[in-house]
Amino acid sequence: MTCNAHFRRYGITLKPLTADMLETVRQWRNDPEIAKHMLDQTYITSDMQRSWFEKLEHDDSRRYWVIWFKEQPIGVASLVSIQGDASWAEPGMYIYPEQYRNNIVPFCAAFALNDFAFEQLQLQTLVGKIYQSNEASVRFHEKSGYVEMPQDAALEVPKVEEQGLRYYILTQNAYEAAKAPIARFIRYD
Amino acid sequence: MTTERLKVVFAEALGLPAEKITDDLAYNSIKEWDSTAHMILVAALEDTFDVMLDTDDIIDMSSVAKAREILKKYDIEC
Repeated sequence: MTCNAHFRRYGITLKPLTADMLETVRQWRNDPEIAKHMLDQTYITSDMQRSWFEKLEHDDSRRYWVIWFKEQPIGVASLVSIQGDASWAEPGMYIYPEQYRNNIVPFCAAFALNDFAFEQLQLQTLVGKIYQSNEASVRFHEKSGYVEMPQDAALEVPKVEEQGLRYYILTQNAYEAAKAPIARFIRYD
Repeated sequence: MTTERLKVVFAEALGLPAEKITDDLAYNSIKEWDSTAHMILVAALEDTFDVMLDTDDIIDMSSVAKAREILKKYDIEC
């Protein structure tokens, strides 16, 4: 699969981020409802966005997609810190339209991203950084198979010491086991 | 009017007291109704009313009243 290919699963299409979607994505990202859940809540200007995107095009350790659902762009999915030895990467995702944020759609998008990570990139582990205060995110990750990273984990993940920030990990086996009871409700052809 | 059976399903899935389950309870109005709770709710509705919902109906189920309206499409009165 090439870097520019679309990845379709669970009614979701992940389309690699392109220049024509940058402004839409910037506006989504700067919306307080989205920004408040980001580790870095800096306001993104057009220049910052353009500069970031130019660097992204030459960086194999980061991938960004626009999430499409029902022929509409609805959010952003990402994998960053993709390790050259495929040992781990850090996924990220947000859904912009309110009507899709709190139901099955976030699971569809996360499953598409996880499938890409485990199947296409052959990653061994996904690492999530989650604030304990974000209860919905903690529940979502645990429902998706994540467990809190053990203190003695072999993964060499650079840790940011920040109050309330926890590290979670997801292996493919744990993911597949957690996915099954939810994926049965995704009844798209 | 929310029937007792539907009220119990919502109360258990969302972890709320039954008296808080009213027709106008909507998923963007309380923190308890997040995406995880939504899936627990859908599973409970399917089990309780012996129905298989379309995925689009699962997405559209954004309030108690809407849930009743959707279930009615499947000939379930509640």
